[in-house]
Amino acid sequence: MASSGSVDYQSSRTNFIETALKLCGVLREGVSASANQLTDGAHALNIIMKSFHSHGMPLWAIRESAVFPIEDVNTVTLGPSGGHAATTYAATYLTAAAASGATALTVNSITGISASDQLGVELNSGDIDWTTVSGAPSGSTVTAAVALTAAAAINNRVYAYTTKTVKPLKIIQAALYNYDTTTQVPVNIISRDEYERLSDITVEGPPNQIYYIPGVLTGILKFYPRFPDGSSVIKIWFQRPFEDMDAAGDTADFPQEWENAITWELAAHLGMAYNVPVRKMNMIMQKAQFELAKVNDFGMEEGSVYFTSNSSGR
Amino acid sequence: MAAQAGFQQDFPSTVDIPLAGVPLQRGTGTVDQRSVNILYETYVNPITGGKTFYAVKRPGLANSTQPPAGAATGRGLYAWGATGKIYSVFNNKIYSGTTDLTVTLAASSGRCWFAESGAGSSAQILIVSDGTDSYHITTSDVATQIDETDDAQYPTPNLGPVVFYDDYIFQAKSNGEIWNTEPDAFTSWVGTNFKSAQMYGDDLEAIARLKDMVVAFGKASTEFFFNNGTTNSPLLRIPANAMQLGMATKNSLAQAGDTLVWVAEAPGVGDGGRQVWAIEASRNGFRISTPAIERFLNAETTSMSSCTAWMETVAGHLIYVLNLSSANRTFVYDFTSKSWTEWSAITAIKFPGIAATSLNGTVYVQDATNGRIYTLLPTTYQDSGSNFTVTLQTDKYDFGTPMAKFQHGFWLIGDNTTSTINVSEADDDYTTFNTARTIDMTATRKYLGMGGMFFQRAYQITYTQNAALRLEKMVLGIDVGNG
Repeated sequence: MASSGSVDYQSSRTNFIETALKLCGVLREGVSASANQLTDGAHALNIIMKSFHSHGMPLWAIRESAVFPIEDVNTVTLGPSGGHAATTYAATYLTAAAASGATALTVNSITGISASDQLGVELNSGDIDWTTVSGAPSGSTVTAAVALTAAAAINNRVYAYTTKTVKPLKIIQAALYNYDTTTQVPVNIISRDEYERLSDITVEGPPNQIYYIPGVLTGILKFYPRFPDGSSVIKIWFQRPFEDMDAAGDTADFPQEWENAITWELAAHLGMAYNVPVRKMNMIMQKAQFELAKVNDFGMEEGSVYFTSNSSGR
Repeated sequence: MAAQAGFQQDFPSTVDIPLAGVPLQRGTGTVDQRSVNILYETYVNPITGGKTFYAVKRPGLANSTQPPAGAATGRGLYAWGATGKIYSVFNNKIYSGTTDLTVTLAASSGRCWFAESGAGSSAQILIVSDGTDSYHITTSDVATQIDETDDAQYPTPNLGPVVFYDDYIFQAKSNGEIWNTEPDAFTSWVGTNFKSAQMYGDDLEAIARLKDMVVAFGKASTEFFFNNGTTNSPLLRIPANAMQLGMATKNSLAQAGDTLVWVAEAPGVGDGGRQVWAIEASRNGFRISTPAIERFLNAETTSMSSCTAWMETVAGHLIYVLNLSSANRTFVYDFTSKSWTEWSAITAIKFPGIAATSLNGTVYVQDATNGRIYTLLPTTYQDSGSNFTVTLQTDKYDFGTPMAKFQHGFWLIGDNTTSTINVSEADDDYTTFNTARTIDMTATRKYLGMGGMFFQRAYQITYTQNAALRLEKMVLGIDVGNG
């Protein structure tokens, strides 16, 4: 007997629901869930996953994104309908100066840049012109959909991305990364109170403090000071939301070791809805708690804990 | 509704459900409790008084002979002890065994009737009647057609049924006249030799013999006659026995010894609906049909006359088999268990046997269309070499509570046999039976887990194997939910 050699097993949304219903004794062996059971189960499964947001920040759910420079503001909205911030992006620079009104931009590399991507070009003023990529880049040329509003010199920064960042649940770390110097400087994450105490937030300079307000579908990142030019991005590391399970065949946005815990949590939820006998319900809930605690422990980062004094002067 | 109370919420319980149930069809469909191709057996322990119920697969049909050597319409079957042979009518021919007796039944159709003269008669004969003519068969298998050309007084057309009684042969006409031959002169019909069943104004449908009586079944009444030894007709009516209970069709009449069964038109006992009645020996007649069966009878309307019926003792069960034409279904009353079941062919249509007889302990059955005669044997588990399906469909069970039930176990209690049995459930008033699960019938523990949740559930068990089947009960493991 040989082992399979495969490690890619994942349950679909329907698998989760039907397994949970069987654990509850609701679904008969060999019988598929009804349309109503699948609808109710899908809703329960999604809200359970959303509730897992509150369980902390498992290592596998930490994501990095970049907040791109934007002139004359201290605020950027983060999320699918937000401002310019992305997890995957291309950062390059002009290898030929572009005059005001130019659309053809010669860059150091077109790797990672695609048609219709969001495109940001650092102007000589330090401001960023944001437009989109027109057509597929070719050679070293990227074509902007809208002409530059001012000239951009050689070596000015160019950023491009396809998809905006997901909404951060909590930002746990931030740094300012300078592409000119390839250096990274920590950025303090401060509280609302601390941010609101800042006197003149219109000051320009390398951002060194941020404050994050999570919202429903987007969040608002406030930073201080304002970007002085386009050479740097604010990198943030945050707990990302777990993805929805929209389709019957969707797999869970969780590592495999979570599937058992998710199934038992769903069984506990559905068991209530289906009036499972108390004795069995108690067993299901205990099992759900046990499995969730076990997998939560497994997902936490194993590292040292440091205690330091608060030197922010508050 | 066989709901059972006594569950304690939140405590696992098991409940026994005997696999024995009467037809409970609300209409003429296939929903509700019904048993197909089953006979029920009940055993009572005389010491403890305990009862054991079994659902036993019905006997199967094994090919015996095919007298016409091809497809032909079966019209009657009779085992004549005098010759030890099986006599049959297919199309317009009479066969002794597989031998064509070379007479042709002229211009008649439908059921043929048999009667044999007594062994003490001058010339013992078997009489076959088709309602137009009679055919006298000697013990040497010489068949002679008897009609009005032989005797101008021969009562033709007549109803068909023929009765031998105290050296007389009786045949009857629809106008109520019950004719008889001269004693011990079976071809001698005299114009004054008849007695009329005339207590009521209805037409006569059939005659039959019951012990020392001739029973005259009218369409709306029944009269009884005995041999009074009078001249012309020896019959004398027993007025006190007359019943305002008629016969829907002579084709529903079947007899086994001193038991007569027929589908009655019952104007005297209610609204005139059809019922199945029986008379055993000299007892009063009694109704054996149930409302569920009677719904099928009434739904036949005028097709009732196209039914067929027979009685035999099969595998220890005296059964009345009624094939309904319009419904295309067969209902079987078992006098042994006093219960109704359904029998079907290998497809879900009526049982193919339309007439039966028995010889030397073996039951022979005539096929309706294919020219075959079968033996009906409890050790045969197929019909003519093909598997047929046993179906046990239960009532809906809510176990005495409207709350959700969770079935954690299903045990089938019965004899080990071949292959697997199918079990499925319907939780929606028989609308949908879910995909069947199988139980290995060779296993000691015949079990299914994970039965799912339901509020009210019916079970369907089917078995389609060339093997015996005897089931006692199913045992359900049930937890009651909280709402």
